[in-house]
Amino acid sequence: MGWRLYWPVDTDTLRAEKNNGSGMLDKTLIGKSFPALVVDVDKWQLKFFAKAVGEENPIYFDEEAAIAEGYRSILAPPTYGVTLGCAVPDPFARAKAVGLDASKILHTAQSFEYFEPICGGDKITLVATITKVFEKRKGAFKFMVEETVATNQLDQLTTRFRQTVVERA
Amino acid sequence: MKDIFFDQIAIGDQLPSLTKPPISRTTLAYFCGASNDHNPVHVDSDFARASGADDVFVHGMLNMAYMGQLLTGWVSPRAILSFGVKFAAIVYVGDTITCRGEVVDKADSEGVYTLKLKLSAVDQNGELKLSGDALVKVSAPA
Repeated sequence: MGWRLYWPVDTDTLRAEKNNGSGMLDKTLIGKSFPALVVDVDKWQLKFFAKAVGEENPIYFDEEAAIAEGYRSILAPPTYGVTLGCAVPDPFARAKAVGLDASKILHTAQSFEYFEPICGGDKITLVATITKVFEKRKGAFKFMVEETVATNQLDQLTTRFRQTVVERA
Repeated sequence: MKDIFFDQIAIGDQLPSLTKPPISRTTLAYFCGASNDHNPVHVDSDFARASGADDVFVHGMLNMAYMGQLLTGWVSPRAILSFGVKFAAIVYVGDTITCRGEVVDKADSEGVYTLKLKLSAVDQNGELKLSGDALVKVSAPA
């Protein structure tokens, strides 16, 4: 894989192991930003993503077509920020750290704001912050919301995205 | 893709709908690798059943990627300012997803012309699977 990892394998993984599915939500993590994840955007993986979703627009898999449209290289599709954010050994580490049971997690909402495009060959820095941790129906459903800011190698903001997950009963 | 001009769009206009092929296990396997979401509930039937599901189910982000294709098939990717969805119900392997969009608002602010879109995705039985919205830029009145 073309990505490099700068991931908090020390305290956060330990906390994830301790709190995973513990039933208690650790709200002290609200507002906490985690160490930045730096990901090289791999052209091969962009092509594979295009194949997986049945993409027909060549700007998503043909570098020449993308350059002809004014992009640096193959364009990442609008939802690709989440894929970059998953380029870690355990994408559920933060959810586990707040006490959610990773085996019961469902993704309930996802939104993006867009600024500069993400293209193959870019180096993207993602900083995720847990913004909400809450329960509904007397604890039957436990939610976590996190916001991620993704900047490129030119220090330009590319996208900011918000993800909501729930631990189903 | 042809330019979309602000004055040629009316509230209530529909985007051309997008129906994807039935989602196969092969597609789920590809998307597992392509998306970095390696959760086995999406690709391993044994694991999915052991965890209480009827069978493997579709990554929410695959359905959102399909919704993104609805948008980028209509406007340039650069024109999308924001895009969000709620995952209303689980989509199972074999389901066929149709994505739809409708213009629900128009705004002109200091020469930036935008449309607000309401988005929905349904399965082959018409059951709502995704709902969402997007804000897109369009060309100034011709």
